[in-house]
Amino acid sequence: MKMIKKTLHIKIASGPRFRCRLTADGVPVRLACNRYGNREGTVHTDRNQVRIRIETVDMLSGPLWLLSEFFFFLISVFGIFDVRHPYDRSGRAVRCSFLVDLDRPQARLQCVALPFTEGGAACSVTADVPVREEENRAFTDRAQRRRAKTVRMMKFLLWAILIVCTAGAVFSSL
Amino acid sequence: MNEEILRLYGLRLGKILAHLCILLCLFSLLGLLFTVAVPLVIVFRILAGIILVICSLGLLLLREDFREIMFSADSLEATAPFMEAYLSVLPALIAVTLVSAAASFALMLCCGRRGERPVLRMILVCLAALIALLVAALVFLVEMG
Repeated sequence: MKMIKKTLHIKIASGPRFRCRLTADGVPVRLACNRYGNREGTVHTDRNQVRIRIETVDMLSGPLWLLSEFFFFLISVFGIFDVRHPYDRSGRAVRCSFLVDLDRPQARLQCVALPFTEGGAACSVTADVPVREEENRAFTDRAQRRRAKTVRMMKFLLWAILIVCTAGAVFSSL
Repeated sequence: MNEEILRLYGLRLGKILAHLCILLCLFSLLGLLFTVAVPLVIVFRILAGIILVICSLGLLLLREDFREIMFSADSLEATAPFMEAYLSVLPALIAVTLVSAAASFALMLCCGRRGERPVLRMILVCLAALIALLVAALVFLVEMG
């Protein structure tokens, strides 16, 4: 029996600061930004069911987070040329998992990010196929918030050292 | 998850490099005014302006005569050589100004005010920075004889 290839078009409507990772049955889905700032991706599968996971990924969750932050701080000339919001300072995180029944060859799923509420729903989902919600929550990642605080402290200290060194060099040359 | 973090690192690195390239583009005050087409935060623009001034002073410091003025005690007599030094660097500054202004205008035309095409914008910014640097170097070399 020949399996019918099914396509699921996914759209994530959210603000530009909502950095998320989308996976379909554990496989990362490439998301492209459309002209309205929403992210769109397509999943091709032979299965009748696909598990869609949306979760936030933060740079501070990496293994060498302090070292990488130090590196970025240095190459961006003490943070002056760094990106505006490289990570979420308050440690807000989102984890969603949906089981989508693909009962037709072409299906659409739209996910709209909701305003952050601790322990509340992270996004609302509308689709033209049945969707079962497994997990949908927004929460504060305490470890990440602690790391963000440490990074801020490190930057402050480095700036203080820089100012002291510059002042010392200027006054010693006079 | 690690691939995603690596991708984020790559994006951040690319953006920082693009910012540094933009700094090279903003090597003159007029160029800075034109680059409002590039959607960046106002703080960055102000900082770029400050760094621009520092860069211009740095460019002046490259001049031996200017260095002598800077470290001499008599400031009254220093005015005339200062102006001379400044005027000698001025052609390079004007050339870079024109190039960066043209590049900024091209950016605005090609990418739109909101920067809908970020990759194209990045390529153009890098290209503009390269051209600006080449022109500056060329003018400076010609001037130095």
